[in-house]
Amino acid sequence: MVASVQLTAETHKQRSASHLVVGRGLIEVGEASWGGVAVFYSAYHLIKAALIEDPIFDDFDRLRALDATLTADDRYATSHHGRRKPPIQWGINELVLKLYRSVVGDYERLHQASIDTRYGTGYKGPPDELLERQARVQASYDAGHLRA
Amino acid sequence: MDDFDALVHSLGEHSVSYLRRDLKLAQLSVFGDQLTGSAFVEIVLSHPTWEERGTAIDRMIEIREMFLDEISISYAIHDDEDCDDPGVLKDREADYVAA
Repeated sequence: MVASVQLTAETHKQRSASHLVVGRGLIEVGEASWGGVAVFYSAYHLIKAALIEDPIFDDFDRLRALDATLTADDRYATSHHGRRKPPIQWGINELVLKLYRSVVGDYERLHQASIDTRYGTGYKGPPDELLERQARVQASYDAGHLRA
Repeated sequence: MDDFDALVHSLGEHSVSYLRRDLKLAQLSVFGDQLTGSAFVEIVLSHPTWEERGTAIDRMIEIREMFLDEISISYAIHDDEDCDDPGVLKDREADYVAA
């Protein structure tokens, strides 16, 4: 889904930083489950910023060579998962897999941690792992590696 | 079986095959949405360790990549110990079930 109101890359980065502060704080007081949700959305907003800034979405030929169904609007995707029936839309998780493979393992694990808390029986892994995985996504973003 | 049914069945079969390589799979169900061309894969593992849950995620990343052009996949991973009765999952009308 492409939202009608778009945040800027800078706003996404600010939201990412804010969510990380909340997540870290919750983890430090022993609440890793909901801390993990905040940490996941910190990573989510980083990916959103990366997509908005990625120059591939300004290059129609390169974009279509990567995948014939990708459009410039996909940089503004908001849903985690897309659809493969018309109107075809890419979801964030699919874009991470296609464009930013180096962080897909960390991103998927953070997303699943969020799902486990919101819909399942809570996060059961090492609390530090949540922050380590977000840090790797952050490091890739900061190093300019989240570019197709 | 129409094309979408066949696709969902293929997704189920591949998911089971990939997951059973390294993991103890208690149940797998696929719920397809023909309107959107998407599917939700519900995975129940038997007493998984934390590392085994990570392996399941890695396998589903591979599955998603395999089917990326055809169907949009979401998934959730459960521990059979957290399911009061794994049979409860069968009460919903899954388009594919493996147990």
